[in-house]
Amino acid sequence: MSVAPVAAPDDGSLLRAVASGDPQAFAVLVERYQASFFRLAARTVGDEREAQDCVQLAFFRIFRKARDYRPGLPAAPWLYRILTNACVDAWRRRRHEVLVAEPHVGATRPADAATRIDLAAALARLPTQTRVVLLLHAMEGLSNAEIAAIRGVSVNTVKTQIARARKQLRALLGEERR
Amino acid sequence: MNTSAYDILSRDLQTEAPVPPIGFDREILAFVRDTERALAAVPRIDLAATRAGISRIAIGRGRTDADDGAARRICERARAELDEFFAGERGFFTVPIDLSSTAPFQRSVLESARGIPLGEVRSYQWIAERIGRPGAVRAVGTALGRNPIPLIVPCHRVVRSDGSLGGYAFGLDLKRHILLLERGILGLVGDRSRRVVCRTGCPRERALREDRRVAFASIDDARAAGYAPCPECSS
Repeated sequence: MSVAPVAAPDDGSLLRAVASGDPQAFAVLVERYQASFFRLAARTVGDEREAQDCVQLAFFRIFRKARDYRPGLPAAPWLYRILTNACVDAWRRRRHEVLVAEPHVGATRPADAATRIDLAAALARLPTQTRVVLLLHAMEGLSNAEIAAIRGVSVNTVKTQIARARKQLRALLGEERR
Repeated sequence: MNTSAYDILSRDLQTEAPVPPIGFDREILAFVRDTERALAAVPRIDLAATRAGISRIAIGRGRTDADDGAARRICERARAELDEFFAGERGFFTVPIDLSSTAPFQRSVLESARGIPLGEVRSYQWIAERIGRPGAVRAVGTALGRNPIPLIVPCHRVVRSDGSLGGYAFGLDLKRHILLLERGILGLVGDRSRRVVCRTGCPRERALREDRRVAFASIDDARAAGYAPCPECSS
């Protein structure tokens, strides 16, 4: 007697199951997205502890709002929107905290900054919106249309922001190497 | 050289991506379960108001103390806004407050605390400096501890300089809970269909479906993305 292989449920089916109160379906979604969410959050907010908070808050919102997901629409952008919203909001809060803690931020730079490429530092200097768009593109391989839907901008804006991010990073990294 | 530096960065984004700690999935599930439970335990609140605004908030039995119709309407509005706040659906309050019973020093401390944005924290020292009394940290703590309008005047956003919570008249568990609740409320939410940005709790924002919500870190960021500030709620 052979057992027919069971196809893994797609994200949309899982979200519908979460909406109807299925805790197993939620656990599968968490398992499936936790690593991707974490690396994206860590690069967006530039701090791993903060990234863990963002991912947890995002999953909490996914759990509460699964009912709002409309079957038939692509699920991944729906999920990534909630995550990037949590990261952007964390950045809003954190930026103020940094200003309070370090009123002279920017006045001095660490000595090793000139000799090595500090990815986090380079990314942190991009505008929030540009950084999120670049990371969705470069790390998660999402299409311009998906990114446009996630961040609520036009496809042309996404293209412009990716190009601008590349240019700014080139300039920043060139500056780091001098 | 510059291009190759960028290539290294692109490669690093792919290959040197941060990995979550072991057991992170279990942590997430526990967080969601605990937060659901914590949010379900909304405290019952007693309210008092004058015609000018809310004058007292306390944990109690859900009573309302108002002398006339105008004060009663203010209490009803405050209760509705507080319910939305505890449901994670409001990030600011519009109901008027009445601090006329407080002394000038305490009032300046409380006004200063009102300037701390949603989800953020500041130290007692920060408040003391803001009101021009940098040596009065202890007195600031006392003034906040006697805050007659907690929640709406967000004394819970004031913590010790070392990051520990400090005090709270309603108990440290509730302070921790409220700070957690606030971290889950987005400060600025754009409507991606209408290209308008609101604060969480604005009627326009509350009508938004999840797939139309886009968070922004500042009004300037929203403007740069082509979103106009909502005329109803954006300050």
